[in-house]
Amino acid sequence: MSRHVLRVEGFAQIREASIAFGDLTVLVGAQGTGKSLLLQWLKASLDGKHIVRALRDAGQEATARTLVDLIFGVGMGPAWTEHSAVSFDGKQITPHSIERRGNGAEHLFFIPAHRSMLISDGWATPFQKLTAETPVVARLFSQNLFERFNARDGARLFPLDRTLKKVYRELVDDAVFHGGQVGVEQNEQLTKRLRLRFDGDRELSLPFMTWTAGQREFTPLLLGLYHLLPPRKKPKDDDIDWVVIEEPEMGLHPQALTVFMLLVLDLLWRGYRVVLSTHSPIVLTAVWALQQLAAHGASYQLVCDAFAVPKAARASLRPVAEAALTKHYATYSMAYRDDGTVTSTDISSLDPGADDDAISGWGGLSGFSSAQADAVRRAVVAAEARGAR
Amino acid sequence: MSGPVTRALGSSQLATAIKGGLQAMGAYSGRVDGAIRRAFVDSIDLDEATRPAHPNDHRWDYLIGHATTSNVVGVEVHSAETSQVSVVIEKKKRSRTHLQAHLAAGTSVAAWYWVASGKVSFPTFDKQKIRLAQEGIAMVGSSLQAKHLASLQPARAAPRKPVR
Repeated sequence: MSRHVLRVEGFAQIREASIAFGDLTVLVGAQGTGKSLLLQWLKASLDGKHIVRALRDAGQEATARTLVDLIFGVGMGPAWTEHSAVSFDGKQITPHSIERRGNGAEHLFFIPAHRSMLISDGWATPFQKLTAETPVVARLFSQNLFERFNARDGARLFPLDRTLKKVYRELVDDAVFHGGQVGVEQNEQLTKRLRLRFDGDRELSLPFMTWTAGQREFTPLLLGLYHLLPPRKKPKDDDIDWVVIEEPEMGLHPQALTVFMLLVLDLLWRGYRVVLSTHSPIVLTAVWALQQLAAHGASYQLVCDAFAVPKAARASLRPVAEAALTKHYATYSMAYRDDGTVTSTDISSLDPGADDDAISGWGGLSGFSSAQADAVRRAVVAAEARGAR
Repeated sequence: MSGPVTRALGSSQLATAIKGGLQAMGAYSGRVDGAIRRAFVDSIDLDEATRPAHPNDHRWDYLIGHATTSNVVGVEVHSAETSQVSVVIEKKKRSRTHLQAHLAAGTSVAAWYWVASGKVSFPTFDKQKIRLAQEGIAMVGSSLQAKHLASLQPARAAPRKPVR
């Protein structure tokens, strides 16, 4: 498999970052280490022409002078300096060349961390109604949700027959909605809004802001994934090859996050390249497990077990699980240096026994819980020495 | 020799098994990082030394004496698999019991380190790691390094017998 490589140097806090993408790539790093900036550069590298067209259609002056502000959000313009350099597969990308990137179609679908904020009143805002203070990836995603809400006038959004495999629908329901049906309904003010409806004994129709945090976060994530499951028998969208999902763990219990990771395996099987940013050890544990299972020649059944697939549904997910064992997984950590700048480190082996703390500590994700566990260990040994245990 | 292991076990019948430096670890002395190896001045193969008295018990591998802090620390070189967590915990428990008859008053094992003999096959986040911490054992990966010893406090001197 050819490895696509994104390099970003001297942009905002990023001193130097180089990411060689796998089929699934995971970025980790503390708050403010520039993970989202990197992912937005990936979007600009692949879909520059698409972005510029969307901005101009919304009446915005998208030129080399304004593009960094318009893409990353107003105020980010000064992040690009004479020392900045970005390349994708060795090809230099500058604010001048962004509008020539791609063929105008969308090749990377970006599900941003802002996803639930974009539908905070139960409806999505179209691209042109969002100001340039909102990063362009969030505006594009909001437009996608807006079109879906309008296309499905009064319709149910979950569960939907023939949109997700039955096993996925059941796992999502068990983990997130518990029998609730997500749909667009007209409310008391004669306005269409998202609703979560429970029929039967507890007949309820709940507006968006009364949903649990997990339901509010998972719904736009799920609707985004719908965009990647084309109708008819095609496994993937003709144009889209890349999927970026920021912080999928937001608001989710580990059960729901495990279901999400199973849906990621489905995207990989369909032929998408997936890039995640995360603060969740559960995401990295899933990647670590897939690497270990593949290295040990595991069967597809063990992949199913690792992702809590019910035994009765294993056969239907066999192609997905078998494909997962053949994929290439890459993990990178973004971390601040002593001089206040950020660099990337390849931690793909995720080896818990590695001498390099960045690898064994999974890019700092384990640091705090390890420190707590170590404090307990020392207390235990000290108590033993006092004869108290 | 007058290292920490000798001070802790020198009066016991195990004393004859104490060796200089990390010699008791044999080839496994390489599992102690070269940068800190010279800080260990004496050692004992606890497994072998306590085998005659407890042939059917689980037994911890080695005790080694850290001169810098005057501490005795335990090292178990063992395959790092989830299924072995209970075994390693049991080794520590049984060896602590065995050592009660041998350790000089006021001495103890200051830290128990599990060094992986091969690849570590449980994840960084795992309830087994929490379980190990709760039992006072640290999983340190493929070698014992300076960073693992950073939390060791200098041992207090054992109370001397009053001179009459």
